[in-house]
Amino acid sequence: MTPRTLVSRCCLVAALLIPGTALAQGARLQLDHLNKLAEKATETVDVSADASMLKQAAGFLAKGSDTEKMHRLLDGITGIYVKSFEFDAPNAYTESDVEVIRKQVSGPGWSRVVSVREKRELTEIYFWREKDTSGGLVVISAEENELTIVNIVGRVDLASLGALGPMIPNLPGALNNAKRK
Amino acid sequence: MSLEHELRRALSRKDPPGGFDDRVVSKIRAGETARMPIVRSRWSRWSRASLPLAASLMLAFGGSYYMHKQQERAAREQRAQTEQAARNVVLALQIASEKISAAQAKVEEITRHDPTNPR
Amino acid sequence: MLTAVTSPRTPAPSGDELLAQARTGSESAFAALVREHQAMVFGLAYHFLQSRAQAEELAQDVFLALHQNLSHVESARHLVFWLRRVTSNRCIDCVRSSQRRRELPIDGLCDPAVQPRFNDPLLGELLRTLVAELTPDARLVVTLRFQEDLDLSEIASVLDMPVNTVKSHLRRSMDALRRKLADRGHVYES
Repeated sequence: MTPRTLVSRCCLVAALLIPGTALAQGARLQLDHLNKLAEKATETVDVSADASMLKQAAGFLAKGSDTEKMHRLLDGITGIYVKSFEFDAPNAYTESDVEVIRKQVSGPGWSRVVSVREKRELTEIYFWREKDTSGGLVVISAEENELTIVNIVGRVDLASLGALGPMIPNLPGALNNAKRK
Repeated sequence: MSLEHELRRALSRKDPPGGFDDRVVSKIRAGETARMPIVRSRWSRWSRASLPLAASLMLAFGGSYYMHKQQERAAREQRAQTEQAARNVVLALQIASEKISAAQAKVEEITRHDPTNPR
Repeated sequence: MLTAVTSPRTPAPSGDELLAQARTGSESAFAALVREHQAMVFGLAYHFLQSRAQAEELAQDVFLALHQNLSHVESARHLVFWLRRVTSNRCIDCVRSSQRRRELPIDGLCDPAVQPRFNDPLLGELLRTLVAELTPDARLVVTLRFQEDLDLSEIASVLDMPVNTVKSHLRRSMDALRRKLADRGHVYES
């Protein structure tokens, strides 16, 4: 089966260059319906960080060249919500699990800037923009053995976020997974 | 050769410069101690064996010592909570970054190879 | 008739025996313990810090700490665990206390003590540099996995970290390393 791809490259380039604008609570998605997947997952990451937790986190990160990028990113963000599940076998989640998310980002204010579909993998990035209100971002990554949803509320610099990678400075001490039992 | 094999070779154990053991022993003879606090091994039986001693010490130094320790513990717990919050945030940003850069890479690869895709 | 009687060679003391002797204050026994484990401790520190000088300082500190805590080490097997854990913690403390910029080990490339022992020294150095760019926890996971050949649960024990976190660090790090290596013309399949 030839890969089907839809690429809105212009939108992606524009999104990378233009920092997200301000936004309302509409940028926050409801992700709780995915909680049931934790039982089947071999690895679960569940992070729900609101504005006060982000403020604590930013305060905890000592100022320095290594953490400067992180501080700049966190400056405009008011919420970070991540649900990521890794499974031993395919078909652990259904299309409808993903559709519930996609329905929420098909509403007003949301625009899809990336959609890549290859065989059984789907990656989509959505941006929230509204005049004079904070922005928001959603990443949907649906692979055979993994489902990850990232929802960031607030002003997001997509280029800076994408450039962080795993090479970003970490916190001292062992990093405990934000995992639900 | 797999990456794992190359990593094993690149990250193999390394001998320190010659005379390392002598330098360590010299420091011990000179009375030097480790500079940073020790993280007690979880296999240690210190906590179980020394509980009666700890209780006696607490009584000996009175209530103020106890209160001080309680405050220290509360501060440590608060710090641990804050640290955990920060870890969660860093982890979330790591995941977001990974997915976004993977998507960017896919877009670039597809656009490079498929001339029908809009630029 | 002459008979030759040779006394059996005294076998080298076992790890547990050395530990017991060191606990009683035997300097030679402690020095033997240092020699036995120095490559592991120094190696972990070097691969994390990418500086011979800092790695030696850290390794010395670990053994000083060991000398102060011999009574808490229960067996030769526990000693290995203890050394890995304390070295890992010291590495993380280094990052925390100094917030240092990572410097490439120019001296390490010339020093025979750390001369790579394989066919492509440039690749090895590249790998070490890329590993040093990982986040501290990921760096420790990768180093413990490939220097010490520990499995995920052993790494999780040493670092006091959930197994799935270790797995996640390892997977993400390997993906990142493959990507970075591919950018430089070294392609490895996953």
